[in-house]
Formats: sequence, C-alpha cells, structure tokens
Amino acid sequence: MTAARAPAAVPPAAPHKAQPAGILLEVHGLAKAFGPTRALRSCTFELRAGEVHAIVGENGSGKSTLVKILAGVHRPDAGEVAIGGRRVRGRPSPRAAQESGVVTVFQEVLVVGPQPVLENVWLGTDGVFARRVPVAEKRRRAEEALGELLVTPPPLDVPAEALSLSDRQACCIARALVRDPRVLILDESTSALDVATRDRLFATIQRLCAQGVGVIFISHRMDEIQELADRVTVLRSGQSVATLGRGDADTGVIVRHMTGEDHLTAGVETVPSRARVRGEALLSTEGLRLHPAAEPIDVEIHGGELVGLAGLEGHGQDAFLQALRGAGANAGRVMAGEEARTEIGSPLEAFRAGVVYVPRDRRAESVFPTLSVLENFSVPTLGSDRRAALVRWRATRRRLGEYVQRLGIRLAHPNQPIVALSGGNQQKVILARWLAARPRVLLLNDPTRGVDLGAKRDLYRVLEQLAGQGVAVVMVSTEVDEHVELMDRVLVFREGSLSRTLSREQLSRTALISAFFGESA
Amino acid sequence: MSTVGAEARADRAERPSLWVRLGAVQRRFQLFQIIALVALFEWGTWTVTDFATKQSVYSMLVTASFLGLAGAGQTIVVLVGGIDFSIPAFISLGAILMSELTGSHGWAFVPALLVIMAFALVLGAVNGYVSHRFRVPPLVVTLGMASVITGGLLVWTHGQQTGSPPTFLGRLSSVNGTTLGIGIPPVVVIWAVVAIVLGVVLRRTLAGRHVYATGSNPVAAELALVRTRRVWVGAFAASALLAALLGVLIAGYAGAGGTTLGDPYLFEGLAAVIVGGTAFGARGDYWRTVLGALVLTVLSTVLVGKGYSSADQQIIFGILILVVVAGYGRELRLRDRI
Repeated sequence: MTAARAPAAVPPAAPHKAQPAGILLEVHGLAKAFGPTRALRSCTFELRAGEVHAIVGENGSGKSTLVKILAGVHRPDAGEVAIGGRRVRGRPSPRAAQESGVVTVFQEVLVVGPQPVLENVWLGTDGVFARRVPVAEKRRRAEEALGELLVTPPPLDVPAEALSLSDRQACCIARALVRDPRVLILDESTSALDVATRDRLFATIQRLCAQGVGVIFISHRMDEIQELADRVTVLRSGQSVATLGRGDADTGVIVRHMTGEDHLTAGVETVPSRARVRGEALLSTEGLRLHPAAEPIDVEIHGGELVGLAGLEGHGQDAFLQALRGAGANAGRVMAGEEARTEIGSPLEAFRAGVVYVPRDRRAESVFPTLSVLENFSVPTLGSDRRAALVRWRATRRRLGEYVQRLGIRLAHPNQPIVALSGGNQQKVILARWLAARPRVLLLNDPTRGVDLGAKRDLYRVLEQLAGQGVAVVMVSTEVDEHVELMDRVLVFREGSLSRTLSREQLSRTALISAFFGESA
Repeated sequence: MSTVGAEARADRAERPSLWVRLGAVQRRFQLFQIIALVALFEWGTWTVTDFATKQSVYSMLVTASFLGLAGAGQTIVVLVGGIDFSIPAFISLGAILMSELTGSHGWAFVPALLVIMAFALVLGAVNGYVSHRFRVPPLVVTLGMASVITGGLLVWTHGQQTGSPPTFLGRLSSVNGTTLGIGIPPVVVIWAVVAIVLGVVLRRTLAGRHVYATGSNPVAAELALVRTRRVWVGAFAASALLAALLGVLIAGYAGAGGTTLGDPYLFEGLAAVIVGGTAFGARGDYWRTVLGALVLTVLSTVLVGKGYSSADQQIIFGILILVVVAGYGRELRLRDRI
C-alpha cells in the first residue's frame, strides 16, 4: 500500500481569492484503528485560511473517521492535529473541538425533533443553569443564519420535526454558523439539502472564506467539488494519496487517485474460472421505485448468476436489496418463484418462494448473542426437525454438521455460545442458517464486512459453488474488488435509481468507481 | 471505545481463568444456587428446631410451589425480554372471580374456571400487544393493566367479597393433602407438572425457541422470520393465565378472594426468577426459577426460625438480588472473552 502513495504536490494557494495564506489546521500522519479494521492509516493535509478544501475517497477510505477525529469524537492512535499552529493534546471532546473553533456539520440530520427550531440552532451552548447568550441575541442570529440559507426561513418556535428534511439539515448548518467557526467541516452535509438551499449554502461558504474561515468539504458529488473546492485531498484505504490544486483536479484525475489503478489491475486475473450457467429467471422486478421520484427499475435475475449491487453508500443498492426480500417495497412489483411468477409482498412470502436474506450488520441483525451455535443456526429452519411438534435436536445437530464441513466452520462444540467464535466463523454460521433453508435466491448484504481474509476466500468459494448449482446470488458489497473479481453483472445505483449495469466484460475498478460518481469511464 | 475494549480484552486473556471456568460451569448448570440451597438447608437443619421434619419440609414445598408458580409466567416474560408487573392483579382476578362466582353467584367450578382463563388470556394478550405495537416499556403497560384489573374487581364486588371458593380447592394446597392416595400435597404435584411442561415447551417446541430468539435479539429474530409480536402477545397471555390459575389455588388456600392477595407474589416471584439465574433477554429456563423458589423459601424459613422479622427478610432478599444481578454483569463480560 505504501508503494502506491503518490507524493503530495502542494500547489500554491488559489490565486483567485486574495486571502491571508495562514495555516488554520494541520493534520499529520493521522491513524486510527477500530479493532482489526484500520480505518485511517496515514492522513496528512493542511487547511489554509480562506480556502475550501475538499476531501474525497470511495466508501471506507477513511473520510468519516478523519472528520470524527477533527470533531473530537475519536482520539487518533497516531499522528498529530494542530489548530492555528498549536498541537491538540489531551482527551478529545466535541466541546473542546468547538471551543478551538472547529465546527462540524455531519451527514446525518441531527436535530432534536420535539424542540423548537431556535433551541435546535443553539443546542448545547447554554450551561446547565446559566444562559450564556441572551434570548434576543439568539433569535436575531438564528434568524440571520436561517435567512441566509433558506428562501423562506421557518418560524423559530415550531418544533424541528415539523420541517422538511432539507430545512432540518439547514438548522444543523445554522447551528454551526452561529458558533462563528474558524474551521467549518461539512461532512456530506449537502446530500440532504434541496437544490436552492444548496446554492445558498455555497454562497455562504464563499462569504465565510472571504472572511478567512477555512472549510473542509466532503461530498460524493464531483460537480459540487468542481464548483467549490480550491484544493482536493484524495483518500484511499485510509491514506491521503494526493492533494490537487484547482487546475489539476479534473474528475478523471481524482478517480484515478481514488482507485489507485497503478497497483490493483492485477487483481482481475485471480478470478477462478467456473462454468457460468444461466438458468431460468428466479427473481424479477417490474416498475420498482425506491422512492417516488426515482426511475422505475426492471431487472431479471437468473439462476446461476452472481449479481453485485454497488454504488456510494446510501444511493439505493441497500433499499433495492430490501425490496427484493419483500420489505419496504414502494411502487412496483417483485416476483419470485417458478419462472419468477409469484408476486412477493412480505419477507415471509419471499422466504416461501425460496428467497432468503442475509442481513448486513451481523451483531445487530443476525446473531442471537445469548444462544449457542446450534440454536443460532437453526432458528428459521427448526420446523423441519420436529416429530410430533417436538424438536429433535439430534437432527438439527446433523444438519449443522453438514454445513460445518462445507463452509469450514471452526467449532469446538455445537452447544458452545456463538459469541465465542471469531467474526468470520460467526458469519459462516449465519450463512449456514440461511443455506439450510435451501434457497433458490440468496440475497446478501455486504457479507464480508469485518471478516478476515481467509473467511472471505471461503465465502467466495461457497458463493461460486452455489451459483454453479443454479442458485441466484444477489449481493450488496462496499468493496469494489469484490465486484470486479466475483460478479457476473453489477448493478450500479445512484441517487435511488439504477444508473448503470456493468457486464463481466465491462467490469474494472475504474469503470465501477466512475459509475459510482455518474461518470462514464 | 474500541481501543479501550481491545486493551481490556487483552488484559483478561492473560489472567488465569479460574473465574472463567467457574463462569462456564455456572452457565451450564446453576452451581451457585445448588450449593446455596444445600448449605441453607444444612444450616437450618442444625440450628433451627424441627426444621427437617416431614411437616416442615412439606410446608416449605407448598410455599415454594406458590412462589414457583408465581415465577412461571414471569420466567417466560423475562426470557422474551419483558417484565410483568400485573401478575398480582391476575392472581387477585383468579381468586376473586372464583370465590364470588362459585360462592355468591352459584356457578359451578368449571364454567367459573373457563371465564377466568378467558379473561386472563385476553387481558394478558393486551399487555403484550400494547407494549410491542406501541413500543411502550412493559413495566408501564403491565402496571396500568394491574390498576385497571384491581379497580375493576373492586367495582364489581362493591369492595366487599362475600363468597368463598369450593372447599376441595383448599385441600389442593393443604400440607397434609394427598394426591391420588400418595402423601404429597397436590399443589406440589401441580407445580412439578407445570415445571415439566414448561421445560419441554421452552426447550423443544418452536414457540419456546421463538421466545429465546425474540428475547436474545428481537431485530435478528424478526429477520429470521420469527413473528416477534405474536411471541410477545403469547408470552404475556401465558403469564396472565398462569397467574390467574395460581389465584384460584391461592383462593382455596386462603378460603376467600381479595384484591391484595397477590401482592406478595410480585417481588418474590421476580426474585425467584432472578435468583434462579434467568436473565433479561433469553438466558435461563424454568428449572432455574424452580431452584430460585426453593432457595428463597428455605432461606425465608431459616430466617423466620431464627427470629428475624419480615423487614429483616426484605433487606436480605433485596441484597441477594443485588448480588446475583451484579454477578450477571460479571458473567456477561466473561462471556465476551471466551
């Protein structure tokens, strides 16, 4: 990974604004790991006064971790942060970060629903007993900030939950503005905004920059970055690989830096060759819409196919998978069963039609932490082990034994608690749970997240075996390499619609990531 | 959070694992509770006069039966991740309806019993439905239900209970009673049957397994196609039914119904569940509650024999619960480690 690191060429300060060239914020060699996952390996960049500095990178490249360190949520394992030339020390806290002038607006719309707009804008500024800012002052400045962001600012006394999503996010941004930031961090804060508010936000950003404020801007939208950013720092796998000036940062260059084309092309050759059969249609959608404004999706998925669902986080691939399992479908129909003729309207109907779903978050959505491996394995299929209404656990153990061998689950005893297993082995038990239902369509939601390499390889092998047996596999994955190596077809989602379909021949890291950003490779 | 967790984990990995091994044994069967039961019984035998006589042991068994039956429904509800504070009200419901319908209104036993069961099932189901559907803590819902039932009974009886239950009910829980000619009090046999049935249901039926799945991780259970709302409704209905039937037995034992008849069984029933080692969210089974009821009954008999007041007993019960619950906390961390 280190070999791929490009030297960070620092271009001169953007010439089109006459700013003091002081450094507001300096980040050097920042690293942070969560258990075995190294979210941030080495991040280095500096923020000048009066510039908009964009941070880009694909999913999981470390952007959110970086923001959370700067906002005082996480403490870095290594590296330094200096604000205004002074190194940040001691226990981090969001309050300390704000007091040093670093104010963050997060991607999630964080408002206290039942509280009025005014309270939401000034959230956290008062002491427990004392009011630090007089009410009249509060009202005036909240009105000013909201008026700058919104064409029709809401009354300050209505509860925040009564506002539209965009207006609620505007409240969050106003909350940052009234704190007079020296460094303003916008972490994908524009994704919830409507177009008019976004344009006004951009004007506000320009005004702040003219006053010498530095803005760290994170967005998945290349057009926004092109429009706004003075410099762009690219993160890849937790490393800052390049900082580009306004002139150099065209989309192609940025994507090339994000994908790290230079050392990953070899990966494609490692695909094990398997007989790719295309059986009958097992699952199809007709006029499926993920939200009212989205394009309808018509897709047919056949037995023996490995289909990847890809896109930037939250762009619809997850919602599409949910729709396929019979949950949360909006307009349109999902059909499964023989020749994909049975309409499914609930997860239970989907299950009966041979469609099973392996959820994403193993801990929250799959594992029964107080139960044994055997009990965890058997929940949806236990009915088949009954005689005269009573479960025969011996039959269940026999069924589990089959999958222990086939999936290579390392197990001391079927009755040991599932939480005693490693993450990879837990994931295999969960997969066994669903394979035991003998599905015709297997829906997987990012099954290799947080799983070690060996277990990943085992999983790929099993998926290819299943496809060879005529099972249709549909899988959301946040790892680009997984799509490139494994899939017959990848459906790329963007803003809630199916934006591109890449066939095996078209698949490459560059093609895929370009598609994420709505560009053609 | 994550780095701290990782360090702590590494720490514990290095420490010798006597605690870990004891924890593992404790998880599989209730070592601590069994030792406590034997020790308490021995202590009583040596220090309290007439403690181990047949009369005294039977009387303890009858008391433990009531306690154990009061903990039966609570066990199911706790396993599913809830708590039932309406058990005393359902006990009163069973007791009063049985005494009044048969004693004052001239009903026969069986129709009265059926009416009681129907009331209990419906109102218990409401407990489960409301708390699941509207995501209200079951503590609040069941307290509300308890208040409605108790008030309703007072209105219906005009605050005066005049009837008394059929006399054969009294014989069921008499210490000198016999079951089919064998010299064991019938209520003890009833308790044993309930324990066996509940044990089998929880361990070997789909409904039982769904109780554990729902209690262990409701989100995962729903995704594993368990209909968790039905499970909640079923668990609370079963709890209400068991409590109302216990009320019928208690009416026979006491010779009359009363709206406060069930009150002692709320805390003590819950104590039996917790001391037995069933934890909120799908760890444990009814055998543990049986053990818990026996431990508490023997403890209480020893304390009475040594002249402790009921206030003293309360303090000791409370401390016992705190100790056991703190032990769970430790066990949780141990479990994470292995």
